[in-house]
Amino acid sequence: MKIAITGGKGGTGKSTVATALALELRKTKKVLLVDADVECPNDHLILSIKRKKIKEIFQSIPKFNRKKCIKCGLCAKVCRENAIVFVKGRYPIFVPDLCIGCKACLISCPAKAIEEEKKKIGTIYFNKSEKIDLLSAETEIGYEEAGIIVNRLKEFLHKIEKNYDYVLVDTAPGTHCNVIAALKDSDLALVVTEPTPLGKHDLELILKLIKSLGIKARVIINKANIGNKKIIEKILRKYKTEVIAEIPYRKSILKAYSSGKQIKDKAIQKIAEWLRNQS
Amino acid sequence: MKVAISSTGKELESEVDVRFGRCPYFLIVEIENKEVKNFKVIENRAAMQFGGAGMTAAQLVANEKVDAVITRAIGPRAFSVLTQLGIEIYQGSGKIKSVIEKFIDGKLEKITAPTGPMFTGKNI
Repeated sequence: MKIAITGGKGGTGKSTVATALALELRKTKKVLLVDADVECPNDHLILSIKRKKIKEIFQSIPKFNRKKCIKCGLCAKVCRENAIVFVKGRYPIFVPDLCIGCKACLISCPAKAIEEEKKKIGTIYFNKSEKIDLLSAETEIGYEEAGIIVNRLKEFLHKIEKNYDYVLVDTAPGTHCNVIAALKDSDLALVVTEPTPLGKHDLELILKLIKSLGIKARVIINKANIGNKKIIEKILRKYKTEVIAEIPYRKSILKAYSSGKQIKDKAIQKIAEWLRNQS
Repeated sequence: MKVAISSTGKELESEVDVRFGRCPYFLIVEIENKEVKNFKVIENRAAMQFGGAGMTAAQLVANEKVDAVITRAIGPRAFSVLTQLGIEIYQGSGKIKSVIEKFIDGKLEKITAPTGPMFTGKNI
């Protein structure tokens, strides 16, 4: 069973819940935790794991051969990312940081003046241990297309996921391409939210996205005893979902979180129990 | 010589737009014998582009065969593209008419490095 842990708003406790839940499920089942927040992966910190690099992720970039270039400008015309500038009578100018590696220029060049080169865009890490198996990725600083990194992470995941009973995919906040890539092909999305106006607003956005992806969603309220739970009830009804657990705002939880440790709370056991009843 | 000026409007009375990549118009001014011979307006179709606006704008003015650009702020990508094309960049502000006079008199300062990071023009 593949379960995405997401939330819309940042800082609701996605990684906190994902790590604690992974360790709870690990007691009886084979569990893989996937940190798909590839811009700011944190799960290894909470779990005190030193990540093991297993693969570098590369992207194609064009290399222009001026000897063959006929200055036709087709490469710039087909580039949807505006990474190639063409001015009549001049050689094309390439701006590498806008390139997403689609190879359209390479394919379209009638003079075969464009060769393929590689640039590093990220790294995949995989740790297998007694404690937990953790798969994660990290984007190179300055690289804008986090969704591509998540897709590459998922490609690797597809090769190994059959070895596990539960795969927990911890997503980034927001509803952008990187979150969509992480949610895609999940059996269930657990949405961690908080009962605040900000939490409510972003909860609706993420539930809307999950619905459009055709994935079943259930909600976990974190910091449940602060704010006002009533404000999110209407949204739960609208998206025909329900709360399966509430995690209180408690000193012991904050203490564990602030010292970079996984939290302990009976709500986590409740989520695990609920999941066991699903399969 | 030909000069492209980032402009808020379509007249020589318009102001220089602060941004290069995301200004609404470019005035392409032809200067001959230290006088404005004529000018035309081109719409900057890059103004609303998500990313890389500066580059598209640079391509736009370069295709007009300009020798120089006058603007207030320019990002690193547009700066790099214009420099590679051998187009000089000058800093100017205020009414375009008087900015051109200053340019003709050699009183405008050259921009020799990008004035801000990428995307700064986006939300101005």
